[in-house]
Amino acid sequence: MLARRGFLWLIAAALAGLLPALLLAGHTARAALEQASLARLAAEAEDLAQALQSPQPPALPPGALLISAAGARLAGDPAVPDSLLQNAAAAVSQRQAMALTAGLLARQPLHAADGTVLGAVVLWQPAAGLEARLAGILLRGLRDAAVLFLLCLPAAWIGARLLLGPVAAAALGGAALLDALRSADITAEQAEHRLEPGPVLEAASEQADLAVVAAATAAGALLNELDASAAAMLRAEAEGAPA
Amino acid sequence: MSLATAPRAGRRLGLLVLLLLGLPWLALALAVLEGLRTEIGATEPALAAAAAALPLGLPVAGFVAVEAMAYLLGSRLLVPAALLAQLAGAGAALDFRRAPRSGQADEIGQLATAFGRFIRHLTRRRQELDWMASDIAGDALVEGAGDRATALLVRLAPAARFAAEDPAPAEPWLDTPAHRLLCGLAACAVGLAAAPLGPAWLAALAAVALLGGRLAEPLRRSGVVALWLALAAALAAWLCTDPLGPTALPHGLAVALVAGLAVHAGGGWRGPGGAAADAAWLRGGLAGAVAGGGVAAALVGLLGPETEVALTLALGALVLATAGLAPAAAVATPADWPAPQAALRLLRQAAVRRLVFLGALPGGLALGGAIGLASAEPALSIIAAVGASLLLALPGAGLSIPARGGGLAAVGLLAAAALLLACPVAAVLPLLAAAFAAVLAWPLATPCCPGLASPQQVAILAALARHAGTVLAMAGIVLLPPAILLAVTALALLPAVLLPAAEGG
Repeated sequence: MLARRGFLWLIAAALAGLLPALLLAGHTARAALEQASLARLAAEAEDLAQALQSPQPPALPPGALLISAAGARLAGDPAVPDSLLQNAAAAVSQRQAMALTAGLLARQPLHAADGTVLGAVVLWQPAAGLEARLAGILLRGLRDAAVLFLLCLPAAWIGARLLLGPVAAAALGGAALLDALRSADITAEQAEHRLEPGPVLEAASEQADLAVVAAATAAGALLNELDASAAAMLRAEAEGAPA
Repeated sequence: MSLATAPRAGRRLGLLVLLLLGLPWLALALAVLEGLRTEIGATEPALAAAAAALPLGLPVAGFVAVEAMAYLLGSRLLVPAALLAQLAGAGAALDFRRAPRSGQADEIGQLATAFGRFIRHLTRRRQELDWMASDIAGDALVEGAGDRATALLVRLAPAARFAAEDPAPAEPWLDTPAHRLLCGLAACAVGLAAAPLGPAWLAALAAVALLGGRLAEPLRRSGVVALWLALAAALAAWLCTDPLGPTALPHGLAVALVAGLAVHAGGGWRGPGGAAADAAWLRGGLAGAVAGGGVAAALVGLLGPETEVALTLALGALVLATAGLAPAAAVATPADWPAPQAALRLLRQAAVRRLVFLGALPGGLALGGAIGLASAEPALSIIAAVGASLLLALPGAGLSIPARGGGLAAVGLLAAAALLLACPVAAVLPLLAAAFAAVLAWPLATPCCPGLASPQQVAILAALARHAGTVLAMAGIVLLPPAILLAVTALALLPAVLLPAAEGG
């Protein structure tokens, strides 16, 4: 019983420890993905801005948006939400990449030949894509961790049995010894004969905890003495009674 | 057979939970790194940043797991077993005034139930005798019979002590998780308050960890109000920093870890014991608190600016080595500990000075050198770390076997940390391998298995195992693919975990 509980404690404690580790891994992976995606998005926005200012500008790819210097939507993917447009419209003249609730956003200003800002090209990557990639990474990690965890369980089971087995045996032996001594005393009391604790202690103390054996030995002697005292009292009473 | 082996079994179960946690964590970290490498490319700076941040998960997870295990073990095994052992000792001295309450269904609970029943039975027998004597004294028709009965009672086992009525219930004492959480937050408050002080806060944090274990104890005993005040201070200090900044999570985790270590050293799930138990517990607390300082310094070094890393890690190495070199046998605990000023008194002792100047200081300097070299060339750090381990293993330095084991554990961990600095992505695995080697080294460093071999033979075996573990970890860094290293490490750990709990002196 104790070994089984110890094994369950091991599992519970390990899982409790793995939870913050998983949270940290998720946070770290998300930060890394965001950082890398933002860098990539910013580079793509820069390339797109250069291409748009060439003599033969390409068509805007999905997730791209062209905004005016005032921040109004000129052309591009209609799927880009307006909430993002508000963020993109602020400080159009600045190159920026940011992570928002709805996704990642990179803005690259478009300049005229004289340096004035014509507007900006905005690239948006929805958060769902990032979440899916993150989920894929974490699921792979969880799968590997679960496999290793399962592989370690036999070692934990054996370890718990080996480590807690002697403690459990000592406790169980002690309990058996005390119960045996108490039962023997009750039996002796009912049969009105003297308790002989020696044989009980010898029979039951092999597996028992040493401190409990010492306590039981002392208690056995005490019970014996109680018996003797009771008998002496009864004798005194009998001697004192009138014939 | 003895319940006294329960604490040893508990310590080994603590190591076992690290195994059960460490390997899955390693797999998780490697899989996340591999996934990130596939997703964002191997040359991205974000990958290096992730690789530097991920190892923080191990100490955090390990700390949570060990604390959880300590609570479960403490509440269900260690404290009840200690209480039963205490009551058994009292019973051997014929003191039956207290009886344990009925326990749970496991073996410890069965013993508690049987013990309680037995003590109540004894008390009843004694009470029956008292009643019998009273009856005889009241009803005796012949003069002197009552006196004789009373005289018999007086002569009966004069040392035996019973409760006047029912035995007082003896219950195990245990700190509640909420109380310990408050302790952690209180220590956290101190750490956070020291954080805005600038670079000096690294040293302050280590000092806090050193003393925090002791300082937390009066706090814990003085009531909850002080802890709530400290919690308010923590929140204020936290808000004064940059709570939503990019480094908030790792920074917060690092500080929480330090605070937790301090509280772990200062508090205890084992509950209050006798004077002797307190002394041993305090010695462990001191070593734990110093280790907390070292870990804190190392963690902060990893998270801080590059220029401070080598110096900070050297400090961490020194402190960790000191922690490993604070064995119970060599450092006598002053009787009036835990007054904070007693720490200075401890440092005045010749044994402590010898440990620090002959063991910790050279070892720490060597490790610091290793780390410094690691920033230029990782291979040199291995050579320097081996040199440091040999230095720590020098005979005649007055160091005990466990002390050398602790020192070597620090060597392995810090050499791997040095590699982590030099080559972040590749060093996640060796960091764990070295940690496992350290886990392997520690239990083997204690002479064990009485009857199987002489202490000297076991010491030699332990030394060989420690060196083999270190070499294995180091070789694994370079040579072995991760899967094989995992398997080898797991196999190497098994003997450490499965060694018998009953250790010889």
